[in-house]
Amino acid sequence: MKRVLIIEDNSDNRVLITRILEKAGYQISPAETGLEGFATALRIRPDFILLDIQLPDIEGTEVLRRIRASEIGNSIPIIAVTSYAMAGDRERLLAAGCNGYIEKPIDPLRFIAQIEQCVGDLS
Amino acid sequence: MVKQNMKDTIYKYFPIVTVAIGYFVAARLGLLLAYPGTNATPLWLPTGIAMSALLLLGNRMWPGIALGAFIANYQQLAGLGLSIPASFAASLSTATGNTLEALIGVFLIRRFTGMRNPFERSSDVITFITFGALISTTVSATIGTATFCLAVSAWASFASTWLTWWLGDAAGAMILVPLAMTVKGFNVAGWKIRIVARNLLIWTFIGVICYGISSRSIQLSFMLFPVIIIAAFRLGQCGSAMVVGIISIVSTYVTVNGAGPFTAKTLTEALLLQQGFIGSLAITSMVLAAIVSEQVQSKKIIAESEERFRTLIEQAPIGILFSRDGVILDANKVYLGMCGFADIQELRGTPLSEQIAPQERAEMLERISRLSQEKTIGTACETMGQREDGSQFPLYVSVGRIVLADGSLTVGFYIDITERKRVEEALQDSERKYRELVMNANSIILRWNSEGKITFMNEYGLKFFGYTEAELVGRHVIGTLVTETESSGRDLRSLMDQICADPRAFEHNINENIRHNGERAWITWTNKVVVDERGQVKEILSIGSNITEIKQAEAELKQHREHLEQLVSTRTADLQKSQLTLMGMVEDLNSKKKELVAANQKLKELDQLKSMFIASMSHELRTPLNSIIGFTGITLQGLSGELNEEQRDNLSRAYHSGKHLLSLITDVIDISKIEAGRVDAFLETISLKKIIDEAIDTIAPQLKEKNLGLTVEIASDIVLHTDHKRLLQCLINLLSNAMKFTEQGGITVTVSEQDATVDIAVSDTGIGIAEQDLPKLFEAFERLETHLRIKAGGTGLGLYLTKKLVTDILRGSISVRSMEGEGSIFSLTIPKTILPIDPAVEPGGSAQ
Repeated sequence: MKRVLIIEDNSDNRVLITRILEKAGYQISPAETGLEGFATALRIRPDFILLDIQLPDIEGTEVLRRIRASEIGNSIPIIAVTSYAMAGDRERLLAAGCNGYIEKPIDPLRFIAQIEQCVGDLS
Repeated sequence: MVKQNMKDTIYKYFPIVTVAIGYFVAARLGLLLAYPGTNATPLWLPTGIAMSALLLLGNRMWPGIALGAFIANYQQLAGLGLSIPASFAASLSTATGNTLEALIGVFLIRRFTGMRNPFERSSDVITFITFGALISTTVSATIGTATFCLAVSAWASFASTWLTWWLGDAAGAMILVPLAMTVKGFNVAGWKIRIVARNLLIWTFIGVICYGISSRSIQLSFMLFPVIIIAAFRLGQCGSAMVVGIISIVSTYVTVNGAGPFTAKTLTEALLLQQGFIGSLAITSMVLAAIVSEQVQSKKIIAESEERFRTLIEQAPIGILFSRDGVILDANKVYLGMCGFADIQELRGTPLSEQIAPQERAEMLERISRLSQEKTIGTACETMGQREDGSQFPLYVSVGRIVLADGSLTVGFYIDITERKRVEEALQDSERKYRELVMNANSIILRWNSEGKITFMNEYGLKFFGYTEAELVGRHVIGTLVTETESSGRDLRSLMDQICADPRAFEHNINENIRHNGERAWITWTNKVVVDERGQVKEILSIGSNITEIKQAEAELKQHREHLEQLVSTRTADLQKSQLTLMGMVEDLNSKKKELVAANQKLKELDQLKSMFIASMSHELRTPLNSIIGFTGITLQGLSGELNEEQRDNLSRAYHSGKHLLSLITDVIDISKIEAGRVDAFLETISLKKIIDEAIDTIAPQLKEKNLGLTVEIASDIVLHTDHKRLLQCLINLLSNAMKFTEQGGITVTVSEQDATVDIAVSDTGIGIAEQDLPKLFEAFERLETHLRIKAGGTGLGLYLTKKLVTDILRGSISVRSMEGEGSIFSLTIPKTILPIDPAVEPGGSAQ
């Protein structure tokens, strides 16, 4: 069973994503802040990470930078899930080391397909 | 002293004594052949000795001649049995004749040949023979024969004696004088004595042999002439003279002894014949030898002259070129060097005109041809030369004509004047600059001498003072440029005198001047001394500027200042009063200003607040909606268990309303951001085909649901540099609209490319739009046919936003054509490349 780390502060979103992924057969580890997310990532070494960008403590981009700078390096795919739907955001995040980018609001019907496309592209 | 005197005396008289002894010895030898019973002899060599002595050593040798002649004659006459007094008197007379003969002969030779050696020219040789040998000898013959006849009363034989005497003297002169006079040049022309001596021997031997042979017949004696002629050519003057001399002595000896070709009844007659023959021989030899000598001499002179001119031409510091009929014959090294030729062979035979630059040739040829037509000697001009490599240089040419027997030669003298031209030009330039500077300077420039007289004034100065140059130069400054006293009363005459006396002390001075029309002007002068080469004051150079206006202004200013001061003091009181009032007003204004600043600040803050509000709206409004849509979505999917029909319908309505609200919010936020100018184009280079495919992908599920066809007409892909997301948004909007209002038929996307723009048309076969509705189509929340809206379920903002996006972000335009019941065509026209906006240039202010 694949393990997914979800770093998301909004509980509604966290629950929504959790439910969708659990129904699809993923094991979920949630984290509510950036620092907690980073610590969890180092500890559990998930198969991939879903990362919100607007977080209460440190920015999602900072979490991304720390993970990529840690011993994990590029070994775990990270998909940004964000409502930063402004022009250029996507490119900026991909350049910073994200493996995928899903715009909020998520489409429950297409979410799994989008994730699998991002992860699948890597493997 | 005595010794010295003796030495001098010896030096002085030794030659005379030698001449006397020589004369005596020769005379004794000659008298051996004397006409029997007389002192007349057919070969009188002493005449030759006497003339040679006078010619070589000067006339002061005459005492030697006189002495030698006297002693010899005395001895002869005394030997003939005359008394001592008679012998003495006769000898004296005869010696006088001998001496006079030599003196007169030499005088005449010198008279007609000058001081030169008479044997160097054939004409001089003739002179010598005529005067020296034939005429002067008559003196001695006459005096001598007369004396003898008187002494011995033998008048009967006067004629024959005279003839013998005369011929003997002439022969003696002709044989000996050439020998003596040419012996000095015996070794000229580098001949070796040995060879000359050998030739001499050979020719003398041949001569004597010939003479010997000729004794058989007198006609054969003429065989001697070719011998003499050849000797004259081969041995030169001295050599041939010797040959003649030796032949003559041999011949005389032989004749005296009664042998040889010349035989007659008496010895004297025979000797006369022999002497006549020898004489002709000697004349022939002398003249010929002289001609040969002349030839040699003139050859030498020509060679020397040739050498001189050659040196002159080669050493001359200018280029020299010889030509004939326009073809080059020769040139000196300077010319070759000047024109870059290595050797004369490169130049010889080429046309003269090629030495001149092509553009100057015609004029130069014209000059040269004029030269020969007008028979002038030369012409000179400045032109352009051309070097071997074709380069040109300024040239001074002087061409002259040398007229020769066989036509004329042209000689040209060429000087490269590049440097001179450069210097000239620089000089002219400098001169012109100086002149312009001085003449056009906006200052008065004056030169005057220490007497106070004007020597120069520039144009500006002349115009200023109102004089012409002629009116001013040479006149005193007092009475022209300055008056005796200034209007202020200052004595200007003494000032001018002081300046003239010591100009260095007056480097600057300001004084009043006067113009021609009587107007007075204040001028500030700067004076400088112009010295001559000895350091003496030559002139004073004064540069002046008119400061009358400044002076006047100063005066006016002073007046104004005084007036102002008065005014100020009276007004100060008034001012102080009004100041107080003003201060109150200013305070009021300040508080008003503060209020304004505060209000402005508030406005700015509000604007920022609005901006922040818009930005956070995007996030904050969407987040809860995401939850509503997400959770109803997953429930509808049945992820949380089966739903009954009613539950599904309820949730479906909530889900779709949520979706509708989300798109409404998104559109409103987009519009407000665009209207606030907060949206910048995010430019990417992307394929249009890809964008169209992406848009079609988005609407594909609904398209399939409605069973509508979709055609894309695009000739070839187009690469755009534009905002990908916004163009996609527009296309999706248009496609969605087309789909919504079309029930059957299909949708067509047509792309056509222009130079800088691209047209994208979305056409449908739907219900179309009523004509009256078309103008309102792109307005916000505009209601068209109500039933359509209900059916389509749009936000009413789609086309408004699309138009905003097309015009404000994509910098294009949108238009629509439609027929109610038949379909609509929405056309976008956008630039292929959106250039980054320069905020300074962009007047719309949509950029931040």
